Amino acid sequence: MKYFPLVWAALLRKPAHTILTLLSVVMAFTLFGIMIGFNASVERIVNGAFPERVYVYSRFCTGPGPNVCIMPLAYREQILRLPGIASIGYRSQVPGYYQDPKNRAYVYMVDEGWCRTRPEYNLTPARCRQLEDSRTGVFITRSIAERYHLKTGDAFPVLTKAVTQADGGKLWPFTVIGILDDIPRETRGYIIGNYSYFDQTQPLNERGTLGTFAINISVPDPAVSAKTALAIEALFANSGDPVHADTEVAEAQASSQWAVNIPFVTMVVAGAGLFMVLFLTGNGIYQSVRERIAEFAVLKTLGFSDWGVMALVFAEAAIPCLLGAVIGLGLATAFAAKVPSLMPPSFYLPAPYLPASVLGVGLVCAILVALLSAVIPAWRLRGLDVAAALAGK
Amino acid sequence: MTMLKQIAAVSLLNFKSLRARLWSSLVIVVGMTAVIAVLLSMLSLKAGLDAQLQAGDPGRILVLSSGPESVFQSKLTRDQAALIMDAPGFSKADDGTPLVEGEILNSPPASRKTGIPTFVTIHGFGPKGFALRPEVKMVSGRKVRPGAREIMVGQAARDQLAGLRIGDKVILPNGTWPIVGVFSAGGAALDGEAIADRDTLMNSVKSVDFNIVIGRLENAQALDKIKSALAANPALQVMAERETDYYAHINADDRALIGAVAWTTGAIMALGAMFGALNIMIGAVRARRQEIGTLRALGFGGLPVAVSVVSECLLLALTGTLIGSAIAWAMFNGAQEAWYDNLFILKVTPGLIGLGIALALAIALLGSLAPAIRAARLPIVEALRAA
Repeated sequence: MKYFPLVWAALLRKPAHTILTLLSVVMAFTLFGIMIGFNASVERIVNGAFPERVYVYSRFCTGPGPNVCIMPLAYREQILRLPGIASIGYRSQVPGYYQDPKNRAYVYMVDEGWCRTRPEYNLTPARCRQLEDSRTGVFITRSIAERYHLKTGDAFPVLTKAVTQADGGKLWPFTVIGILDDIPRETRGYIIGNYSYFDQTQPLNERGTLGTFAINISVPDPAVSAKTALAIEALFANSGDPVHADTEVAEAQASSQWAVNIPFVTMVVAGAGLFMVLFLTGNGIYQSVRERIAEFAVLKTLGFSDWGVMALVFAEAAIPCLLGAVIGLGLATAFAAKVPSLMPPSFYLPAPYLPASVLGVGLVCAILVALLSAVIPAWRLRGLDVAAALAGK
Repeated sequence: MTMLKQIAAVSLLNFKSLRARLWSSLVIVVGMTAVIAVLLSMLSLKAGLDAQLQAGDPGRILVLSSGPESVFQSKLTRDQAALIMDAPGFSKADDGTPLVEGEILNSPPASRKTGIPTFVTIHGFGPKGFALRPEVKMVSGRKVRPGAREIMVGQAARDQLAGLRIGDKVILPNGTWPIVGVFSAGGAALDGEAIADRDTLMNSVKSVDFNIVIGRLENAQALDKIKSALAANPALQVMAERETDYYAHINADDRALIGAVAWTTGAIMALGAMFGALNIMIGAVRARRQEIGTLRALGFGGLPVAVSVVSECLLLALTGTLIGSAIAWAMFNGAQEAWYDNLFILKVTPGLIGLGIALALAIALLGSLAPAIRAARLPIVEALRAA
């Protein structure tokens, strides 16, 4: 405790310097927090990928759009005959909007097997039965319910831009039958409808087709999943509708580098910000110690140990670094909460994810910056010649 | 005149004494280097996408079925295509027929050289495909022959995707198609895509419909003429737009997002650098108090002293900006990049470097103005006493 007044006096010696240093550190750590938050949210999706899951798509669809890649439902039975398949579900989708084209509504039309294969979507067996029993019923998530002020029982008409029904219809008269919790991988919430209703609306020649199979194998091992994916591709390689199969782990890894290499970009930017303040704080503490050599000589004469003096220097560096990091990471957290509303709908980058563990990394980095910036001046004080220093030499 | 001489003298004196404040001066240089390197690197993505759009040909139009937002979801029957091709306003091919025809697209899976799965878009070119796109030039190999199951790839696709060199084979529904040539499309999106013969491709993917009709305008005003002809035909529910406009609006959100991310990041870093510069310049003025006091006692005015403070900061910030620009340029100018399935080249343009310099000037001014005014107003006696 006896150190505190000394550190405080050092910081107040040049208040403008201390405040400006603090502001620079705040900026660097705001950026650092946003960047490691983005990285953490992408990492969470990659780590959260189910190792036992495989997805199957039509191999030759006409592009990256919805409703253009369809496969025969009959493939289900053939896939189920492969060894180790625990469950299989399928999904098509209605890509539309609610009330205004800006309000995208992408409705997953699923079967009962999908509910079991993708349990993270919170579709319990009871809810799935509810879905099957109501033709036009949909489950929406809390974030969507809040965005459009919807509650259970409300009509939720979805319009599509292109014709999506056999009779030329573009309107899907859905009704909300329940509200589910949001999940991290669906950054804008999700909507689940009934596949059999979807199928009944399709032109006769497209009935019994679907967009995606989701498959769980009985062993949670990405290597086994990858083998199963290859086996499924081989199964239909010579058929009229060949397929493309991916493991969920491979898809998640790809998604983090699909637009830009997010892990790389976030780390470089976070590092650039820290490097910038490291120079600033290092220079500041170096100057401060050099100008106060006589003061340190007095302290040593009074019996302060080398380590005690070094601790003083370190504390002088650490206070603006830690305080700046706390404020900066706080600003980053506040910013993260705003990100979903700033992101254009076509881009599914999740908001920065800043739990205590990630914020802890930020604080550790702040301590490292303080240590690095104090190490040279602190080290020089160890061999301080007290007499020469007091004489001003 | 004497004022200018004074400014020059004080500034020169100051630059000579900069070496004494080397380390603190480096803080401004390093700060600006970091800001500019990060900002320009991020903006090189947007500049690359913009350059790709500018490489497109505004003389070409696409006709899509109305509703879908993308060419992949658009569907036009042969009858509809024939009606569209009858519209007035298309330029004439060598044989006198209008330069317009239906095309099909297909996107089989592919992977980047980094192993990331993606897909490659294949354009099915009809007989007029090359006449419609005079910018397509062969780089190596040969063109695909009508009726043959062959593919030619753009050079960006060859460079960035795995297994797309001449002699490699692409798996399509009825067998493997060899790659027989590599083309350049002058930096447009087509460079990252592939070309095959339309009718062979339609056969292979069992499609009887086209995705789009593509045509060349006879003159700049012809688009309106075509649009009104299409709108007047009740048998058609289609929309026509310039190919460049189509590509511009399908990635408008993404380009806006890149700009927003770059500028948010840049602004936060720039603020940090600005506080840093202010910090250092206050220190510099403090260190120069005796020099400033002496100069003032000799009769030098306050303005030359203030100018010397601002010019010091400008010089340091500009040095950092040039280093930062050089880093961004060396690392990213001309680098290959993939934004989803769109393959393009990053650009650090002179315009971007100019922007960086402007930003450096702004930060340097904001960071040095207050200390400069303080330096100019420093009472002489007090300044000289401060040793």
